[in-house]
Amino acid sequence: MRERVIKQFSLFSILFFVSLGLYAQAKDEAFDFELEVLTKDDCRLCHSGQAVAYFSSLHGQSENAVHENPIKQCETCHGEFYAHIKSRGESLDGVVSFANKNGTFLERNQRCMNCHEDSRRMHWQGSMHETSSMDCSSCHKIHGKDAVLARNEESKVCFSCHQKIRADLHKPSSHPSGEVMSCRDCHNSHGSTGDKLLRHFDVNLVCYECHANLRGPFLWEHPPASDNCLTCHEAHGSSHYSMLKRRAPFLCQQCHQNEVGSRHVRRVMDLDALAEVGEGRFIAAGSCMNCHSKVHGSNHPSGVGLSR
Amino acid sequence: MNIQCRQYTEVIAILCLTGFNSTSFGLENDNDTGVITYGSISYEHGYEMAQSANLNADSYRLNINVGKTAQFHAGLTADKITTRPSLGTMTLYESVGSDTLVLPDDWVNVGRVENIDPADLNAVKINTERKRIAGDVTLMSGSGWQVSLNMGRDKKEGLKKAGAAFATNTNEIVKNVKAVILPEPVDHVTDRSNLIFDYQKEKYQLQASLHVSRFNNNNDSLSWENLFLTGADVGVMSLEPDNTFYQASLVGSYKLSDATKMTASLSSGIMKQDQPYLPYSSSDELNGQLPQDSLDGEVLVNSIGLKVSSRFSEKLRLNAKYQFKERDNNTPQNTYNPVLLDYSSYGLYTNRPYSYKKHNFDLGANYQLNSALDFDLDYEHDDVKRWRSEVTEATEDMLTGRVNFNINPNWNVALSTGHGQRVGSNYVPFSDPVTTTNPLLRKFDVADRLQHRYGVSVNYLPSDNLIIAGSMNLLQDEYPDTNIGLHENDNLDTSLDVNYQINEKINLHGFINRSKSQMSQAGSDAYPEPSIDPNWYVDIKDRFYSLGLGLEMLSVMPNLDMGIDYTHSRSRGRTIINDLTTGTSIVSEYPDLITNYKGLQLYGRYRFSPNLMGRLALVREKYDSSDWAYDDLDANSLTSLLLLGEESQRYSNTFVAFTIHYTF
Repeated sequence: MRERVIKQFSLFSILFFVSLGLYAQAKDEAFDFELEVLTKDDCRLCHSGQAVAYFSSLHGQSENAVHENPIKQCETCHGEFYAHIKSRGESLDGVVSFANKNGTFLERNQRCMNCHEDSRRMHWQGSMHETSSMDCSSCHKIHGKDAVLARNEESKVCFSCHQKIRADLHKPSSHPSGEVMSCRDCHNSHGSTGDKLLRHFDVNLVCYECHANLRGPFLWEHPPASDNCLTCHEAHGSSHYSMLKRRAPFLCQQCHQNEVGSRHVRRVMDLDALAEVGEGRFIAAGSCMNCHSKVHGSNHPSGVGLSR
Repeated sequence: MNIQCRQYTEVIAILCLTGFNSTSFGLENDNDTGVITYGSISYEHGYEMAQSANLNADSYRLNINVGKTAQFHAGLTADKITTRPSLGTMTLYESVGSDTLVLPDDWVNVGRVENIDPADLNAVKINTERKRIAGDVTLMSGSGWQVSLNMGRDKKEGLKKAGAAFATNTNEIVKNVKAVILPEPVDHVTDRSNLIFDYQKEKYQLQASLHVSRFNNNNDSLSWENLFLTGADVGVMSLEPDNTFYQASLVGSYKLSDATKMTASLSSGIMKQDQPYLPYSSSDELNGQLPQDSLDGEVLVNSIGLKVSSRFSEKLRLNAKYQFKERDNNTPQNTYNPVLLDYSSYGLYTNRPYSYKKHNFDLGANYQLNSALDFDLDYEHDDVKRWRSEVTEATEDMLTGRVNFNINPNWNVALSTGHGQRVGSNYVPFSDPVTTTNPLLRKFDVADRLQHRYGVSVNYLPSDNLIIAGSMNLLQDEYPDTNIGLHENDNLDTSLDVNYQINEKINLHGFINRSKSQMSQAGSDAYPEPSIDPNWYVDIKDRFYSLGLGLEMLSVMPNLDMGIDYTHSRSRGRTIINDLTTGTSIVSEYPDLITNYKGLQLYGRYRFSPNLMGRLALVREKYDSSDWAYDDLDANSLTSLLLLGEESQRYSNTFVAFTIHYTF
């Protein structure tokens, strides 16, 4: 009887442990199968929208060829997925998510810089945008069309933070915004040697790229123009002609109250002067520029008053 | 390697094109290496960019790019910008567009402009057109080397306005000056070239570049016949002289550690101009000996930059930056004997080539207290030395700070402030007759200044599909030691943006901006006798607001997207004069400067097939303005100045734009 019980117990135990082993093996195989499915058929089982958009992007086109295992494409930027998959998406441990912004912005940006830290972005660290804790994904869209890369879409991305600039570009006298002229023509959003992320170390050198006629050097200089175009002009747009900060004669009178010239420079330019015989020329049309038209400098030997 | 470059051809038929974006074509993988061959072509015949009074809709841009990743890239760009013609402009002169403006054969000189018969004036179109073509090639070695060459040519043609005056009496010079606004010919060509070498490794990047720019004005001068009874027969003014600019730059960065990076830059350039001088005057009897035949102008522009940026710890980041900028004007100084407006000599003058050296030191820190709160602190110091300036030395210190609160995932608030002070050496005005000025004047660009900045921004995401963002920024400049000149200048900008994603297919967005800018300045009509103190004041208040609303609907029908955009902007400028020249305060005000723009665009995009896309847009825009500098003034309204008869800008457009895009 006892032997029978022992045999039955032994058989039961063997069957139990074999079943347990088979069950465990089956469960592992099931998990591995699930993982296998995920790795082979990639992350799009859960993230189909992002995946479709990704494969239409330049990144997707390139990476697809590099990595035989598609999950490696996602891991390149998003980190390790094992815990994420094992938790069936509940855990983000080890995952770098740009949408959920887990981790620090430095960690997220480093994912991009691993491939993109070239000479065009060598000034990124410590730049105005980087010190404002901006992600690369603050401006760039990796999955699908990246609007900031298209000239005529770029400014819309910049305006989402730079609303004042958008307002300036709507002003009556403004630089064009769109395909013909874009933010990148003057600025490098990834950092530069100049102020305001300008492409050159000096603002005048930026302006001279399109306005080389004002570069000189002139015989008779107008020092504020030689020093900084933004002394008199707004960079993006103004309510006054020629993108001036204020209009003449008042802008000019902020610096010129000369003795010479029958007090015309320093006189009060009220509206009566416009109607006054012979005096309206100081106010109408171009005001001071009606005579002093070479306001950026003159190369005429007699152009000391910027009138020749 | 099995590269199967698909043959691609792109045909674009354009009828009144508008708003056509870049579209990739010929994207092709090399399945072994990941190298892809790519190409794109884009063409926009500009309407959308022309949302201002000074630009015409007649603009375009063509861009073609081809390349192979990590191997080469080539691009070609051609574009055109046209400025909007001034309204109602007329001139007395013939041969407009040439560098010699002549009066009609039967012209009889007049003493006063009012005596000119408007029927003698002919319409003239004052505007310019800039065309640009540029190409670039980049070759990549795959081992870190990259070489780029880009070259371009800008050509600007047309007419712009130029004031031209004659003097007729040296005792009361200005009172007897007579002037005319001329149509000045513009025929400029600028050629640019850049050669750039890049080298990069894991820890460092280097970039060396050479830049050459040559400007050529096909008109050296502009001569015009005097239409008045008095003054010289002919005047000649110089136009912008030909010039060249050469620049060499070396920039490098090095990672001292994973957390610390150092960047250094060195740049040296030279601007040269040596166009032969015109004579002092068009009248031979007034011409004297010039000290040299041309300026031989030469300005060195140099820069040195050094920046160290460190992620000192997980919570603290530090930046230190130094930059040196120099404008070293080596143009020869000589004494000239200029002729005043082709009438007579008015003394000897020596040119004053302007130079400066500027040092900038910047220390910044960012501290992340926790995920909800971080701080920025920045200190900047500028040290400036100028030559041939009223203020030869100046320093400026600026301290700025910012606090950023991530209150919760739905709310973000940032507050910022900055305070700076600029202090210069003694203000020493020039003493020659042209520039002898009121001793109480302080030119605002070199005057002592206090600057204050305040800012607040709020981002609110009440739900996943709604974003509301607002900001307000105030900039205040004060000139505490200025009695004559600019006293203060304030700018306040406020904005609100809303973006609502109604569902996957419908997006609604809008913005409103409001800008207020105001300044006050003082002058002295009484200078030099009996007083140098201010006796008139001007307050200028500019207001501007813009509003935009947009609705975009994707897949309204299969393959059809539609949208509508509305923009409205309006500006108002007030100029208030307080005249104390008679001893009592007389306050008067100019008429308001007004601009008003309204634009409405309805558009639809339809993809007929994967290869064929069309776009149709109906556009309506209206602009009008009111400007006291032009309104109610005919060409011959002023006694001693013949105007062009220009009117305040206004226009109204309605048109249909159609785009078709085909790839095969």
